[in-house]
Amino acid sequence: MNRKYLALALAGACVSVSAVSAQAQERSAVRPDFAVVDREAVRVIVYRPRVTVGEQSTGGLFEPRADWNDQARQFLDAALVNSQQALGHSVIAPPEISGEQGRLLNQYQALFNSVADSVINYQFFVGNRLETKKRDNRNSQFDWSLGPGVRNLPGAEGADYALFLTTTDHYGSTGRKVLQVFAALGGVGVQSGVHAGYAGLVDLKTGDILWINADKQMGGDVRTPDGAARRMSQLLEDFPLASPAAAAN
Amino acid sequence: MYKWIAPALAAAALTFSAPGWAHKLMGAGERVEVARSGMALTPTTDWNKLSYRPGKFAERWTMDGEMLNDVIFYTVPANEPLLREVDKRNRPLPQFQANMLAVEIPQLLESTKRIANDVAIFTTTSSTPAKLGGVDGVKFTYQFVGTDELRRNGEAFAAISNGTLYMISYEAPEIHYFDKDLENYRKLVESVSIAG
Amino acid sequence: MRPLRHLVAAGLCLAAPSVASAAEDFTIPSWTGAYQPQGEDERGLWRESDEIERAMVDSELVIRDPALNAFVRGVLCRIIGDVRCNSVRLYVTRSPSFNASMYANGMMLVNSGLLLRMRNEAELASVLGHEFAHFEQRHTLQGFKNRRAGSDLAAWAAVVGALAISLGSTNATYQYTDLRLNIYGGIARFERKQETDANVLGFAYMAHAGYRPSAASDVWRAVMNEADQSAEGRKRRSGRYDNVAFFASHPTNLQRADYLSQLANRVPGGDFDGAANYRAALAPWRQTFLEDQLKLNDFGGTDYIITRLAGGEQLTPDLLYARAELYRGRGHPRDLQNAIPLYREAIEKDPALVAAWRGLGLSLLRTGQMPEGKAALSTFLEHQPDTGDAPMLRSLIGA
Repeated sequence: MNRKYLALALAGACVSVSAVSAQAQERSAVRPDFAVVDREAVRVIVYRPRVTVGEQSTGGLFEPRADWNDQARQFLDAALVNSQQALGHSVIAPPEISGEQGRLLNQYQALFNSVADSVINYQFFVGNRLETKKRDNRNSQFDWSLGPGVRNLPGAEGADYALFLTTTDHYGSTGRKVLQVFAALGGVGVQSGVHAGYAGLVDLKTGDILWINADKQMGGDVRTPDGAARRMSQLLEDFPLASPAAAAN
Repeated sequence: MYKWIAPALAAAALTFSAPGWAHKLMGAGERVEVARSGMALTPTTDWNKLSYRPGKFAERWTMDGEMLNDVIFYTVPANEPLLREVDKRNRPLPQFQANMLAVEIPQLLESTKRIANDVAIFTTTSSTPAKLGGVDGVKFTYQFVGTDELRRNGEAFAAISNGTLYMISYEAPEIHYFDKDLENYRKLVESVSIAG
Repeated sequence: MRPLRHLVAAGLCLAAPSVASAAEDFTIPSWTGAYQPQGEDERGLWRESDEIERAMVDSELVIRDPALNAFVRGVLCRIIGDVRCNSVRLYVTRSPSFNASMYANGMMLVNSGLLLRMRNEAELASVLGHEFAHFEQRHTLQGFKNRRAGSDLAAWAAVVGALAISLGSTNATYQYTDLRLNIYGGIARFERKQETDANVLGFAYMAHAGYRPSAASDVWRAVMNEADQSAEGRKRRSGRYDNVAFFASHPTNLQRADYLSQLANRVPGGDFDGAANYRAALAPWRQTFLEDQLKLNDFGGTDYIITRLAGGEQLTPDLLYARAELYRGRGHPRDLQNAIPLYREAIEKDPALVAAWRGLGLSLLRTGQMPEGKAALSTFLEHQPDTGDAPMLRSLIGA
């Protein structure tokens, strides 16, 4: 009796694991009316990416790791620099931001995260798609915006677009991964690791999201140079301002 | 002893795989009854009804997701909370009472949001007499900041009829979204009728 | 500066036999300067704190009132001295729960809910000193390491327990509960050691600054009493304080409050409370913080806070008003009857407290006293014609 149910439980666990890789989910989209006339003339302001890296202990407690965080920031920065060279557009660093300007940017980053979460939950996640978004999607619609107030963002006057970047990585410890398998046997859902990455290109005149790439389970180990490069290339995958040469690579 | 393994596995599978539930299209021009109780309305634009309810006596509609535009219909009988309890033992939600005055409803919603959504800053900015579905009640506006630190605005219409609280609230980020869908929400309110 | 060895000597003389040896007790260690993180764990925690602080700087929830910030910081600096104080960045946050926390990088967060509950500078000093002592003794990091080990075990236990139950073991529940208690007990024991160290150092700071040390035990007793009252108001038994945010990381019990008062008795310290200063500094905010508390649907706990703030004296007008609002908020028929005289007394004692007319009017209307209720609302509107819900109130009085 016990064995029979154990076998069933194992089968269930296998099914649910394979479901993760099998599930069809979109990860990026471009606004259909987005077209760039002169790639070389476009100015993109890149706001400070939010990078958080740590370990998820068996208990699920997030454990910050300074070495990983430092490495990830360094590697992702380098990867971003390499990408911008390859992509060939003009990148502008934001000015020093403090006080009211800092709080305004904070509001917009919070709004971007809410929009990115909504895009994932209700447009990319096909099984959970909002009915209105389904209709829109039949016409290849992708219509999400932060609103025209983005013109007031610090540094916006000298740029055409803003790029928002966020990565959050909680690596599962060995204990956590083993726990995950056993938990499945007991009918308890345990998530191992969080690897969320959001990238969005925003039109600084309209606030429209011209392009977004958002995934709660991204690849690339940001603690290594190669992994960070892979993460950055995944974040910037299908980046619409890519030069034809870079895109061909 | 074993019979709860199957449901447990099903539940576990749900957490891993794509949810099979579907949100419902509330198409323009179709008269619908909301929140299972006497309140009916006709949307003038398409809305989505989310498949999970925020409370036993509440129903949630949205355009772009509840984080960006969040309309909740309430039909709450006396001595019930507005939303689902988050921690009934340690942080019970306040309950609607039949002898409440309409002018006191804004504070009921404020208290509910402070407890259920961990809202630390909440300000009611106006409160005026208004009808909902032909019943005399209150229209009020508010601002709040939740745990995601995003400033949001709200507007709600509420009326008490036969010991039941009828309310429609609309909440959206102050930046861009609140203004974007305000008129669509107000048209929902205008079309409401309350039976009984 | 007061010679610290006198404190130590006095401590020895007064030491009660039930308390651990006091030879090292009330010595403030020499300050080693701004702390630099070492090793992987410390650097990790440091980094995370920096990220948290960056978020705090732009946060919507930070109270930036310079006067309030200067006052709270002033109390902290008075007990730990300017050199130590320079290593602290202090933020007052709008959050109604009783809590204060110190991060490994020198950032201290003080909740508005803590400020509401304190009655004087000495009580505030006892909490701030306690938090800073954890920082000086580097407990943030050690606590983190220990919690990590504990929660790893707890997660295993939860799964093993669930497995055992699902596979039919009859006594699994018992074993699981046992294991869980052992793990939590381990964390608690470890933290109790840290707590003792932090208390001793916290008392040394207070004594050094001339504050009344027994204010510390007043605070702990009050927080526990509030939790009890809160539970009673919700018609359940209490005796557990793990729902109080502060105690989640500072496990406590009644013995500890007793131990604290014994310890406090041995510190010569001073007798300075600073109650008048405290009231003056909080005056611009107390109404706001009380209103935040009133909206938490916690009748018993809030009633206790009001009583305690009165400190055995008659309720001040703002506390009379708060209690009246508390009764009206719960709104049982008898509550409304009780609220009416409280509003009236508040108005009598402080005619400038015009909000009381609003509450009085609504309570009268709800108890069927229509003419009196309308008159009270009219008086309120005469004083506050442009208030947010004036149109709503006018409709009630038919104006």
